[in-house]
Amino acid sequence: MSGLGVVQRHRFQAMGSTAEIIAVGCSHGEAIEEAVQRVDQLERRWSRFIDTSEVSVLNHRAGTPVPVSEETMLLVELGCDGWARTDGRFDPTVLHAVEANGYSVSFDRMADTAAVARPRPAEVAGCDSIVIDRSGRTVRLPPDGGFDPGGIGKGLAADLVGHRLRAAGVESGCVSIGGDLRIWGLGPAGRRWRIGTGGRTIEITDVGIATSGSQRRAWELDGDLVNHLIDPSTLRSTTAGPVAVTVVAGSAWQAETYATALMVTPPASIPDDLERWGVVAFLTRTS
Amino acid sequence: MSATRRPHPALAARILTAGLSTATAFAIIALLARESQRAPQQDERPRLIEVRIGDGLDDDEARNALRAWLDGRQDLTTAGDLTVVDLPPDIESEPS
Repeated sequence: MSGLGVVQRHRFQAMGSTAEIIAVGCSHGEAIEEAVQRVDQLERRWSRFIDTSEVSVLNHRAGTPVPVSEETMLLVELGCDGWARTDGRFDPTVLHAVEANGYSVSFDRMADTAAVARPRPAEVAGCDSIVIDRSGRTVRLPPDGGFDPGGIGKGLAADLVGHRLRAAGVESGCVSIGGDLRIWGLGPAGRRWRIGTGGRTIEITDVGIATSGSQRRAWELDGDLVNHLIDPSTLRSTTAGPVAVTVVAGSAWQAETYATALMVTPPASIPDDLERWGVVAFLTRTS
Repeated sequence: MSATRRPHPALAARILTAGLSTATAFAIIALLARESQRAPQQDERPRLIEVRIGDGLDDDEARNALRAWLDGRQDLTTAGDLTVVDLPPDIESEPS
């Protein structure tokens, strides 16, 4: 089958990773430019490495209600939803345990300096103690609580930007934020999108796809190799689950939360989760 | 069938909101409404459910559990919406 003609690809840096927007079919330069701006706006609202972001303010002012934008309220709501659906294995409140591993500056900056451990929390609050006031449009974290958007923000950004591109008339496209994908329509070859994951290629469309792995963001801390994936049951880096999991779901934010949860799940328990959630998963290999 | 497909807004909302609390679902729908002023019609279709065993999976217990699950779900493993192909990818899904 022949291709669909014009394919526009725009690659840029965002959310501590490489982002890419692909529009297939006809010229959509203006829509792509607007999409890039939208990703930048979401990063400025959600990054925990930007002091003025809404998530940073939420964390700095834990214990008090903080006014937030609609997008940030949605981020927190969906984070809590992912926490509930995964029985707490995806937990955005593990922020202080992530920081205890030395991940308190952006990963790019970590390459320049040795990671510095911070006091490890004895426990994290979980999402039950987050108060979301939709009518007042405020969010309140528990005192000493923290919210880490790392396991959901890129996927949700891909979903929101993808939806906006479709609304702008991009009938076939892909939004990738650091490898978390939202795809729709047909790919550049005029058939479903071909997605590479763990050395295999799958053909699919109209889904969200996310991969979580313990080897991408890993570093040495006091002589031990640690990574950014925290097991909420131990508040330490995951070691028990697969090395990498790719999940295909109805949306990228769901795929990302499920993939993160499966990274701390014993492999033998994974089939039950997949059936319950109704998603596809690829386990690259176990440790 | 047209060469390209866009989800009906109701379908998009349903996909995004599947399994969510009512309040959260409304939040997503409201945001979608703001993001999208217009969207064309499209036929709905069932969502895919499938699991495949990764080539590098070397844990016997996990492999056996996955195989046992798949044995009882042959209808899902042959679903046509997702296939593994021997072709170069358009884009990679990588650990983020």
